[in-house]
This record gives sequence, structure tokens and C-alpha cells, in this order.
Amino acid sequence: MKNDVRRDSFMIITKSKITQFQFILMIFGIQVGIGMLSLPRELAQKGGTSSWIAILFGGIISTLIGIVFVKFREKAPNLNYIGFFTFYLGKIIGSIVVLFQAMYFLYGGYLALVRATLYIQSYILQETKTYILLVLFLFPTYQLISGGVHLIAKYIEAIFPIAFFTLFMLLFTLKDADINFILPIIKEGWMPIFKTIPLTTTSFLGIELILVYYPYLKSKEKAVKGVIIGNALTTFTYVFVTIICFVIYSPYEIKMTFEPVIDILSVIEFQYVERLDFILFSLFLMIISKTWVTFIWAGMNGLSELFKFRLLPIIIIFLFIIIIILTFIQVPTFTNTTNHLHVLMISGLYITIGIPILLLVGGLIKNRLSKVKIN
Amino acid sequence: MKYFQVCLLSIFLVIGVSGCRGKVNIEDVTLSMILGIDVNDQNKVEVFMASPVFSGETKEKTEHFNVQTLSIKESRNYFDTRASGVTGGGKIQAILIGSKVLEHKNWFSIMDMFFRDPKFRLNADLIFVDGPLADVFNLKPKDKPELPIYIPQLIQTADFRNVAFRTSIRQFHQLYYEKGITPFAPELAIHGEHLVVNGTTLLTKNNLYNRTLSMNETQLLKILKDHLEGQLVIALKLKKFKKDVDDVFTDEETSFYIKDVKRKIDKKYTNGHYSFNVNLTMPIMFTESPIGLTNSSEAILKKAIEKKLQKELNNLIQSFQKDKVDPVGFGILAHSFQYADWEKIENHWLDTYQKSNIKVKVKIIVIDKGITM
Repeated sequence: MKNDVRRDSFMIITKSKITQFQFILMIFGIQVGIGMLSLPRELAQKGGTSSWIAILFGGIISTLIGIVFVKFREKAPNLNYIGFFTFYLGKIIGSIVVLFQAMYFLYGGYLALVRATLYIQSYILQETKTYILLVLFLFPTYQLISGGVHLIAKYIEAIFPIAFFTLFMLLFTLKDADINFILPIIKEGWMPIFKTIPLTTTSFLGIELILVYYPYLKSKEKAVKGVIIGNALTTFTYVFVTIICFVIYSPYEIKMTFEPVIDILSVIEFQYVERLDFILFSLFLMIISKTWVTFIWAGMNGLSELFKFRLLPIIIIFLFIIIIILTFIQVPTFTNTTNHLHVLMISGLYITIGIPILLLVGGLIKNRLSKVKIN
Repeated sequence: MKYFQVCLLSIFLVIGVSGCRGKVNIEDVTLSMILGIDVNDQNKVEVFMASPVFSGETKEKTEHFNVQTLSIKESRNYFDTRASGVTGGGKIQAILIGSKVLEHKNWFSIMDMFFRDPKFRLNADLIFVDGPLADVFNLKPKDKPELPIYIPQLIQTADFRNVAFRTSIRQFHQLYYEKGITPFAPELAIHGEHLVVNGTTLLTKNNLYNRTLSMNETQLLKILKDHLEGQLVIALKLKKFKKDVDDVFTDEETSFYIKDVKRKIDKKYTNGHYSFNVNLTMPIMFTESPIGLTNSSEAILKKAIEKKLQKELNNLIQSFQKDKVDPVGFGILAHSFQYADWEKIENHWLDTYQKSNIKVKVKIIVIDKGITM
């Protein structure tokens, strides 16, 4: 009996200091990552240049799912991640769900990290080995992960001005823009736009992390508002970037550029500084870095709660060694990471849509069994 | 534990330091600033390169190379066997294409490296050269700076005066792949000891040479494209005001600044026929006039200019239609309002373009007629 009480107290999170602003930026930060770099091309390939409208729909869907997550979380606000799933689904199913999610988070974090090193190797440091870049990246990652969610929140808050600055610099590309490329706004009717909605929804993945963040929030009652603003910020960023790419590139050209958002940076040039794209690209990496840091932290957090161990430095270092070994087992290339990202997106879609349904069913069954109304 | 961490950290740092490999001093770099592609007399592709020399001892400040190859990246290997430093392409200023290249329809394939290699500077200017490139690279004008500075400056100032376009490699990529426009780029020619911006080379959709627009025609094209950079001065001969036939000074010349072009295009589509009404409104400022300008004579001059400009612009467009070139990009305008029909004709747009009805209307607003009457 005493044991049970102790275990329960282990499940309750008492230190909750994430401010509303940080929460908004964390939602924004987890969604905007490597997916953004190729988003305009993928949209153009699938639905032509009118497909940017689909982003708005994707944003609305993502906001709704986010609100549903918050509503579920409100029933058990202070429980930690595993505690929350145990509360709804019972010990066994809850553990399985958490295990899958933790694997998914780690997989996502690994892919974002490897993809970032690939970009660096392709654009800036062609001769540097993958493992050296990984080691260099993993140092700050280690610090942030061992600092926990509060440190990550502060990091995301601190680099937000950089994200803002990079997006602002994109406006300088507009000197070559031709608005006729994007007109008429609806080119081939609404069908292609609706067909692109699943694709745009995947660019909003990461919203499931609200379940992890929630207990750490300072003002939990304002969480819904935070979800709406965070998603609006992401939607705005995507629409902004996509429209800029669509007016700079001709509709025929954009389908041939792998990462239009990086490629477009090379338009920016001033008389006193050429090749500004390398500088801006390095700043872009910071924006990408918050994705992998958060994902790896969330995965490790899930595992540590599941198997009841503390996140000692040695464990994180062990994980990093595994990551480096993995890059030797399967040498990362653009093609295989793209395939992996595709798998990640599909599993992410199942998770974000599956979990609310699972929670709903679990809540209903629990209601029936315990006669205590929780849902 | 603490000790262990410090050890681990220092091991990682030592690994990290080796990441700084590949440091190159500027004296050891051969910066390729100008790249040239040409076909020589034996029908072989040649790649030219000009690079500044950072050394006080040499007399010449630029080194020039040429090699026979079909791959620009491979040409770099050859350059490195001859140049004093490691060749780098990140600072490239201009790419010259010889006129013989434009006789071969697959010439664009050699450009692939520019768009694939992220290190390459996509804002470099693409310039066509009338005549063999070897002459350009052998040119040593005494009163001009070195080639890597000379050519970009030439294009830049010509662009500022609106007598030439400035097409970067990136823009050319767009012109090549966009189906509603045909490619064009500025043209250089050698006049004696100097390089001269000749006007604009127009290419057909198959990337073959079509014709060269003169300086005046380039100005008109710039007006049509609503693409003004710096100052645009247009000089016209108005026969109407001609006074003395025998004299050299016929007093028929007028010139004016065009301050701005407001382009409004009415697009119509009926039964497979496009019609475009291009309405240009231009505020101008007189700099020369054949007659004294009072309020009434100003109106006469204005009418005459409108008529003359309108005629020249319409003639230009008709000649474009006859030659099946569309540097203005009416195709882009076509797919900006009739997309469903555009999809059917996108691969033979130029045939439709030939049949479509394009009219230019010029309206002039005189802002300033100068300080004397």
C-alpha cells in the first residue's frame, strides 16, 4: 500500500514553470522544422500553386486536435506522461502506448538531426564527416536534454528572434517576384486543394507533444488559447514561406527544386555582402535544432517514466553513441531519410488521430466500470 | 563522475577540432570570377576561366585559362593543374556564352552543374558574346580594369541606364523552364579594343539563337516588361517637326526621362484566341525638344510621342509574334487568368501566341517640360 502511494506521488509533476508565451513558441517550434524546407515543392507537386490554401485547412484541423488533447489533459492535469495514459487506459495499454510514442519521438528526433547534418554537408561543410557534425550538434543537445523541459522552453524562447529574423529576411527575395505566377488563386477548382490537406496536416505534426507539455504549464487554464495562437503562428509561417516561393519560382520551376526554402535564400544579396544565404542557412539550423532537441527529450522522458529510471548523463551519452553508430549502419542519404520521414509522417498521423479516439474509448470504458465520471 | 565527464568532453573537442580542416588562404585560391563556354573551330566545347592573382610580384593581375571539356566541374581539375591556387567557384561574377554555342540545341545541358552544386553563386550574370570567346579572354584594353571587374561593371551600368537586361543564372533557369516565356540575355560584342553591350539576344523556345535586339529595342522591351531599374532616357526622331532637309542638324530629335511605367493588361479569351490590351501609362520629363514648349505645343509634342512610341512598341511585338519569340512573357499572363485552357495549349503556346491579338496603348503624362520654353 505504501509502495503504491509512493509510485503515485512519483507520477505527479509539481514543478511547472512554463509560461504562456513559452508554450506558444514551443508549439510553433516543434511544428516548424525540416518539413518546412521542402513544403512548397511538395505542395506544388501535389496540388499546383493554389495548394497554399490547403495549409489553412491543415492549420484548422491541427488546432482542433490540439484543443481535443488539452481537453483530455484537463481531466488529469498534474499527472506525468505515463501517469496520464495509465489513468485513461490502464497500466498495460497505457505503457504500450507510451512505449510506441517514445519510439516515435526518438525516431523523429534522430531523423531531424541526421537530415540537418545532411544539409550542412551539402551546403556548407562538404568535406566534414557525418560523425563529426553529429558530435558537434550533440553537445548542445546534451545540455538541453539534461536541463529538462524548462531549459528547452527557455532555449526556444531565446532563439525565437532568430526565427523571426530569418523569416523577415525572406521578404528581401521579393524584388524578383512575379505575382502572375500564383494567379489565378484557384487554378483547377477545389478538388486538388482538398487532396493536399493530408499532406499539409502532416506538416503540423508535433501537436501531440501538448500531452507532454501540459503538466509543466504555469497557467493551465489558458492552454487552449496557447494552442490556437501557436497553431496560427505556424500556419502563418507556412503560408508566408509558401506564397513567397510561389511568386519567386515559376510553377514549372518549383517542382524541380528540392528545397526551395533554402534555395531561395541565395537570391538575397547586398552590395557589401555576397552569399548571405550561407549565413541565413546557419541561422535556419537553429530553428531546425529545436525540433530534434524537443523530440529526443520527449522520447527519453517517455522512456524514463516508463521504465522508472532517472535521466542520468550516462544514459543520454549512451543514446548519443547509439545515434552515431546508427549513422554508420545505415549511411544517411537524402533518399533514405526522405523515405524514413515519410514513414514518420504516416505513423505520426496515426498517433495524432488514434490517440484521441483511444482516450475517448478508454474514458468511456472507465466510466462504465468505476461509475466515476471522468469523461 | 566529474572527472569522467571532463575526459569525455575533451575527447569530443579534439574530434571536433579536426572539423576545421580545409582552411585555405586567399593567396592560395584561384577565384574563378568569369567563366566562359564556347565551341571552337574543331567543334569541341571549350571552357574559359579568368581569375584575379593576389601576388605583388606578377605583372598581370588576372590569369586566364581554357580547356577542352564537356563538364564544367571537370574543367576545374584542369584549371587546378595549371593555376597557382585551388580553384573555387563561389564568387563567380559572370558566365559568358559564345555565339557558336547557341547553334547547338542541347547547349543548356552543360549548365546543369550551376543548378546542382549549392556552392555555386546563382546570382552570377549570364551574358552572350557575339563572336569567339577566345578574343574576349585575350583582350587587354589599356584603359579598362581587369576582365573580372570590367565585365560585371559593364553590365551593371548598362542595366542602370536600362539599355540591357541583367539575367542572373537563376533567372535564366526560370526562363528556360517556364513555358510561357522565351529566354533572353544581354549580349556583348568586341569593338576593336573594347567590349560593348550590344543589346539583348533573344532565343527561341528550343534555346537557339533568334536575333539580337538593338539598344533601342531593348529599352522598348524593358518598358513592355515593366522592368525599369535606374534611369530610362528615350530619344525619338519625330519627322513631323523636321525643318531643314539638307542640314545635318535636322531639329527633329526629342528625348525624355520615363520616370515610371504603369502597366495594366486587359486579358481576354474567346474561342481559343487570346487577346491582350497592354495599357501603358508613363509619366515623363522632357530633356530635349524640337519646338518651344507652351501649353498648346506641349500637347502636340505629347501626341506625336504617344503615336510614335505606340507604333514602335506594336511593331516590336508583331515582329516577336512573327519570329515565335515571347520575351515579354505573355504566356505567363495567359496562365494567370485562364488556367484550364492554358493546360491544353501549354506545350504549343507559341503557336497560339502567334495567332493572338496583342495591342499596345501608350498614354503619356508630362510632368515637367524643363526650365526653358
